[in-house]
Amino acid sequence: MLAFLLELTSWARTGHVYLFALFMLMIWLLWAIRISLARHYRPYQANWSTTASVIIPVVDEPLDLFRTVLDRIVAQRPTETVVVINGPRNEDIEALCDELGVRWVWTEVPGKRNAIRTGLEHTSGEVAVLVDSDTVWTGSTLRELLKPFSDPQVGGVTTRQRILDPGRSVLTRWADWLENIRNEYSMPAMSVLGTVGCLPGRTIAFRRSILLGCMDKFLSERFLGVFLEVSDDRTLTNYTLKAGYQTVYQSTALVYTDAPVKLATLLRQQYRWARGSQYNTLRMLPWMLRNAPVLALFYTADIVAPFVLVSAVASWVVALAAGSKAAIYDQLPLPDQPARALAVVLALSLTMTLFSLAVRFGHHFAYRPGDLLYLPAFMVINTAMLMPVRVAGFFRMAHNSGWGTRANAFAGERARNPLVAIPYLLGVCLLAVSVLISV
Amino acid sequence: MSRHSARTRRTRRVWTIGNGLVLAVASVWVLTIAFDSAPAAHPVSSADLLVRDLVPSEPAPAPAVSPPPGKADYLRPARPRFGVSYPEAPFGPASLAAISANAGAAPTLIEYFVKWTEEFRPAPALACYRAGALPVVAWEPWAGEQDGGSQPKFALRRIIGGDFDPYITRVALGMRDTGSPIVLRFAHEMNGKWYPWSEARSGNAAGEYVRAWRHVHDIFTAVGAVNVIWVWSPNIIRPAPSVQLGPLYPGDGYVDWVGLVGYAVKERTPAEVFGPTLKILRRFTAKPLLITETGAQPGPYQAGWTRDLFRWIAAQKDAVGFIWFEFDRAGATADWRFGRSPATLAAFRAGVAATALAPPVRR
Repeated sequence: MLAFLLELTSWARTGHVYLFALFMLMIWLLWAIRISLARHYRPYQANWSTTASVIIPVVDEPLDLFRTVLDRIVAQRPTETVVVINGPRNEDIEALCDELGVRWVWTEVPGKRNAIRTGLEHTSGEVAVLVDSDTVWTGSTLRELLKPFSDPQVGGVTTRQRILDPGRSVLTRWADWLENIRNEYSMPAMSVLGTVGCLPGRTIAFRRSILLGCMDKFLSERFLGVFLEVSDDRTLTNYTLKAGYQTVYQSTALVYTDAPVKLATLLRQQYRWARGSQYNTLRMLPWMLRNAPVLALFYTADIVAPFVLVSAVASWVVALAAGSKAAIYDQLPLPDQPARALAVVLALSLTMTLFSLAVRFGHHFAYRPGDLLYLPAFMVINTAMLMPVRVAGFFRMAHNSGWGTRANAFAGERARNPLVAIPYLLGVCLLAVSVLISV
Repeated sequence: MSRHSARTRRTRRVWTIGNGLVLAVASVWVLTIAFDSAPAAHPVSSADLLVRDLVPSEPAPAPAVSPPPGKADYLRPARPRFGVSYPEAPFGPASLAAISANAGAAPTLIEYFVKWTEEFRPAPALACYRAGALPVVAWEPWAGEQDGGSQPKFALRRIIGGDFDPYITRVALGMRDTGSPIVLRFAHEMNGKWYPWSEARSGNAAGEYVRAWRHVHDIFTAVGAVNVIWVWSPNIIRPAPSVQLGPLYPGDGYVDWVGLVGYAVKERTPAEVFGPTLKILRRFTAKPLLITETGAQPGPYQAGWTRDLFRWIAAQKDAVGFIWFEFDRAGATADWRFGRSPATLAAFRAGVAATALAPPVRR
């Protein structure tokens, strides 16, 4: 924040454009747009009843967790519930379903997409609720989730998501923080416009008719010469939007989900999401530009921001290596001794960063001020890991891949594809532009 | 809206407003500080900006026709000069006497620093002459170190634009009127990024240094201050390897000597300190060389390096001499005084004794 302000003044005075200042301006601008939109957000209030089929694709899951998942769902009396076991047979889960009186089907074909189709074939409710096998509902999840369907314009609804027991480790706290930021800022903002760009797959409700209409494309459509199995939720959201329906967020429908506790798993998950989401952003960009410019702005910024940050950090490293001093700090009245000056700069910038994040993420920290203690860790994870992972994900967007977090899951197809080069070219252009700005 | 959610909204509002206020106050504070050195409104009338209005009308062309005696005689000395800069320079006769006694000879160059917040005074220049030394004025377009490394008030653009013409003119007239050669080392170490006149600071842009230099030089020429010897004095490239020297050079028409600032930090010989930079300088100018600041870091190589300096200077065909930076840690980044260690003192004395140095100057 300190560096941002000093770069701004320097910019205003000398006309020298700082990449990091651009990045921060973009971040604050997007933040302002999001909160001003989110202020208008209200969840749907009136009850609405319709037939609802819950579809739960599962490969393997710890039995006690899955028991809780099913228990909670069954207790809310959906019209019907079906568990779709995909890949190798899983007799434990079959037995558990039998015990709880939940219908199950088995399909040999691995992959979540095929499991969703199988689930649809075995159900008939007007609304299909897709649930991840590790997602735990709260008492009124289903009732709340169905409310928005009172509006015939609404085609897809998502829930508020939190992480189960976030106090377990820094990683779960970070994941909870990230989810909550999404719940409090981007989801309501996009929902106000009726265009939530991605209804997260932990629990989504779609009109069955929409899913049936897009199922063939869902299982085969290629982009950049590749069929990407991951990011099924975003793909379905895209089809819903393209079919002319609204996608909304119902903040009162709360679900809990697990988060990786191992760094490697977390990175693989983030990498998978990074690829899937950026792949779909490119794919949807023409539509978004025509029909939902704000959404296009949000998602383009999602792609551009990591590139800008990575370039900015790289330019700092180069500047440090070249031995040039950080001239922007000379605008401050600093003590003469270098050690003290450094201490003052550090203390000042840490304080300002703390308060700026406390404001920018106030909707989270106001309720969990304790998480402020973990901010340095969050920042390290974001800057040092998430941003590079997103950049890497962009480059490797059109490569084949599987899920990364699950054994026995869809493993991707093996084929050569010349269009793989397109994301690389785009990525190099983005990096080049960023670097050009910074020199 | 339930009572519960009303309360959570209040919590949120209090949190956001509280933290937002702190952030806003801190931001405004930082912005004010960063901006406070912005150019103040400088009440200059358009008449002030015209040099000719400030020049007394009678004498100007006369000195331009025949340069005052002296400058030409000093431009290419047959023998190198040993010079010195010390904290009270050019005053503090006791210090000067001690340095001369230590060295075994009196310096014939005395360098002192003048900021752009100071008017020209003839007394220091005359004090140099009384001591038998040429005055070397390091003329720095800033208000001093306490105002920071960026001083937009002294931005090169403002110099070029004429904002300082009245001041420059007064200084030029003052120097002209001393009637004796004065070595002027304007805006030194311009290739470093540490002074406000660096093109990387104070809102300066590439190309402005040379334009500012020429602008200042033009005013001196216009008022007939042709007794001034112009030293363009970059730092050796070691601390600023990426800055090109060529684009900062005002041109042979505007420069009499090239100066070099170089201290031995780890280098064992003067050739190691000055050689690489000199090689670059010689690509674009053949003007005589004056080492405008030098010294060696205290340590095992200091004595040997100091003795070598005299040999190195004597071996340069075009060397005007060198100026030893006789400052301790109170005034510089290290204690550079040659009298500090007996070995270095002996080396210095030996160097002075063994080198045929230029004689003292006279007015």
